[in-house]
Amino acid sequence: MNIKVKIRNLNVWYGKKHVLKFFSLDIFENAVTAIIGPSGCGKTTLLRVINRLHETVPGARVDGKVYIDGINIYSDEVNPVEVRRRVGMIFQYPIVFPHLSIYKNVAIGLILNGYKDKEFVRKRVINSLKEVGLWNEVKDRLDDRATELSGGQKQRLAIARAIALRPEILLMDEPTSSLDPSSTARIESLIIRLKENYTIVLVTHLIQQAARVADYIAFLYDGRLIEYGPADEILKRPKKNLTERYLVREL
Amino acid sequence: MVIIIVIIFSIFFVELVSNSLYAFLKAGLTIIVGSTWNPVKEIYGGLPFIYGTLYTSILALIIAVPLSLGVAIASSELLPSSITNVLNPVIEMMAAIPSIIYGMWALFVLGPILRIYIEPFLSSTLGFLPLFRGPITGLGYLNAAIVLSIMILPIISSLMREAIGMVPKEIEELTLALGGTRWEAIKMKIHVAKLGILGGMVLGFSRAVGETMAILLVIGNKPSITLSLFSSGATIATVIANEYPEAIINPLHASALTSLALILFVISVTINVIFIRYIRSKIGVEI
Amino acid sequence: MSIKTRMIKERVYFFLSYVSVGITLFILGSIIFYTFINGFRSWNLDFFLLPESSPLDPRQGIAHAIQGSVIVSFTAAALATPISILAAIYLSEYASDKIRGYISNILEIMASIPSIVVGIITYLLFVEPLRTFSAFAGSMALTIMMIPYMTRVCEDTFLSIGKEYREAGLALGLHKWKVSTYIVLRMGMRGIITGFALAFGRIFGETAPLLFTALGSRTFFTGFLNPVSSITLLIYEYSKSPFETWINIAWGAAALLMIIILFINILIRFVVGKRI
Repeated sequence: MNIKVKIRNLNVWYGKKHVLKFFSLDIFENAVTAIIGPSGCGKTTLLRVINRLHETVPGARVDGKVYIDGINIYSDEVNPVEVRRRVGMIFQYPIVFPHLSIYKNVAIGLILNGYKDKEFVRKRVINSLKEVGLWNEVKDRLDDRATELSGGQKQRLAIARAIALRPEILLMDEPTSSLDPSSTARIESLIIRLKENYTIVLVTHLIQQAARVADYIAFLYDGRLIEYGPADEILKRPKKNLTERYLVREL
Repeated sequence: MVIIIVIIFSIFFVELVSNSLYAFLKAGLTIIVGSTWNPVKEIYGGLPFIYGTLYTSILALIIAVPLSLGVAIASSELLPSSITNVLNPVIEMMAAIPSIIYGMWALFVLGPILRIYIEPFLSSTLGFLPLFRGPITGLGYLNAAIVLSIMILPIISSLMREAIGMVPKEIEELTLALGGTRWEAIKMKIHVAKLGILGGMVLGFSRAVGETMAILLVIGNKPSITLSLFSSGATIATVIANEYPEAIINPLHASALTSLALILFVISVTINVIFIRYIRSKIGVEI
Repeated sequence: MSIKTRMIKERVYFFLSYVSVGITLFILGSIIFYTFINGFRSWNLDFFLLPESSPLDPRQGIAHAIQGSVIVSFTAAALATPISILAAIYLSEYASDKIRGYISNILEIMASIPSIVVGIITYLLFVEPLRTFSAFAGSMALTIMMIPYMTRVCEDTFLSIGKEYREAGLALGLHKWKVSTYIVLRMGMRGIITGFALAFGRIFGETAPLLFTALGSRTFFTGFLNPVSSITLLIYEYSKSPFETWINIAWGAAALLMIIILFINILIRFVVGKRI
């Protein structure tokens, strides 16, 4: 399998707190890589480093190299705006732009990035809504306020919004933690469908979810990578003591 | 306890009493639509003052809103807190400066600057526009509009800053995550905060409408309905301030001025109470 | 639109925002600078101790105006403060939601009346019937302006006091009235003082309401039923005049007024540390 993202010797600080320590990881293309670990271990920070969102917070510092397709996204020649266009992110809570319609919510990424051709945008929006399975539910009310959707629908809308830009990588930060079980199930099967075309990095605190969805699992503890490998191996035959203790909910 | 209710209600009642005094002897609708105001000939057409009030206030808004937005953005998004901790109180203190001091500055500092540098320049380059015709004195609509805009800037900018500050942080992050630039993220916040920002503008406008002392010394006090920024003019507030002391001997004159005061009162209160309440109900917050 | 264009746009807009701040500060600086530079030049002992005189007289001052401002403002404060506090207590402790809303509306209407219109109302109510311009009428005008603002500030202060304190008082067997005065009033002192200082600063710097109530005068205070001067009225009158002596004195008065107002504001910020 191809390696999409190579993380080498990453050290990340938030103020004085050393959040990620000497971190290195290879993320495989067109697969789902789950990041698990106790809260505060740096999972979300790892995600936000990959799309260069972490540095927008005052007091944040990043040191190390992150290669996407061989290019170090932290080198001086690379514009973070460009990085974020090609790496999509889904947040923990379903966020919509309250002042925009459902259609506009999906199209906004394209509009921001300068896609002027209305037909092209329209096609992309419809395709994205179809891919996330939302099209039938909203096709008659595309101009309605996005705030009227349910939580599960909003999160699928968020995914549609992200993939409308056809990013190569999708970062998902506990995307189902605020959703009910049936919405969760829908999104999990969506993730499995999406990995065909996207590289997905999923942060989750639900070990069961990782079991259902992930191809690879990385276990983090206190800012360090403790163990990493194919999902089956990590879940059934963890090599490190810490990993085992976390999996049996001791940590 | 009951005493307080009585006190409050009697104040209210007092307003009603004085209101009924306003309606005294209105010279008909000409107060509103008549365009000639000549107390000597007993002609009381108040249109020039209504025009003056609206014209100066709208001009003041045109100047103040972009500046206020710039200040709001700079202070809430761009400048470090070490600077904004000083800047924000300073701007709020601007609002506390008595309006007569603004008036003095407008007369003795702004006036000469306009007369010597700015208005001649505008006249020579853009003099073909009706906005920039007429004799150059440094006083008049332009001076008044500028001073007015400075006066309302602190309020508008503070409200804008609050409105932007209330936008949830996720909106900014989401826009950045979609590949937006920092400016585009700020623009998005402004869009989300639209109503609050509009509320700030409306409040500023209502302040401008009622302002007297800041422009009394510089507006020229000659009723005139014209687009020319160099021309003298008058607003409802300034004509009342100018003419009322002499008018009290002439009951018709006094009543005409009082009617204008009533119009001003209605305009101010309508804007303040109705619009602001409407906007507040949409955002659910204290302005 | 390429990324380059968007980045350029960003830089332009950010620059414009900084420029706005610069322009605002520059103008503020200009106002303060000219006021103080021109004003301090007029400050001397005569300025503070002598009243008005003919425009050609080099020895005169604004003592009468200072006295007038103080009398009129403090009288208004003395009248407005108890009314506002009592009204605020009623609104926050006793009034039903419906009444509170109704009275809030009235207060808002009162607060939005332009100061010149307040002047006319006061003229009609207190000058015409008494057939004289007076310090009393001037005070009433300022009182009308002060009450809505102070009541609102006090009401907000009282409402922000958690209800556990009131319940503690009631549980101790105190009458509701005692709870209001002993507990709520005392806990809200800070807010009241802040509100008072800000409201006082506002009315001290007002001119329009005094134009046809207190009218202005060349002499010291001669009784509440006679016209009286104020710093603000003097600034206006002298600025209008063609006399250089008077214009210089006007700047001096403006500098004094500015210092007083800024002093009150800064004092409040430091002593109470709140943002209002």
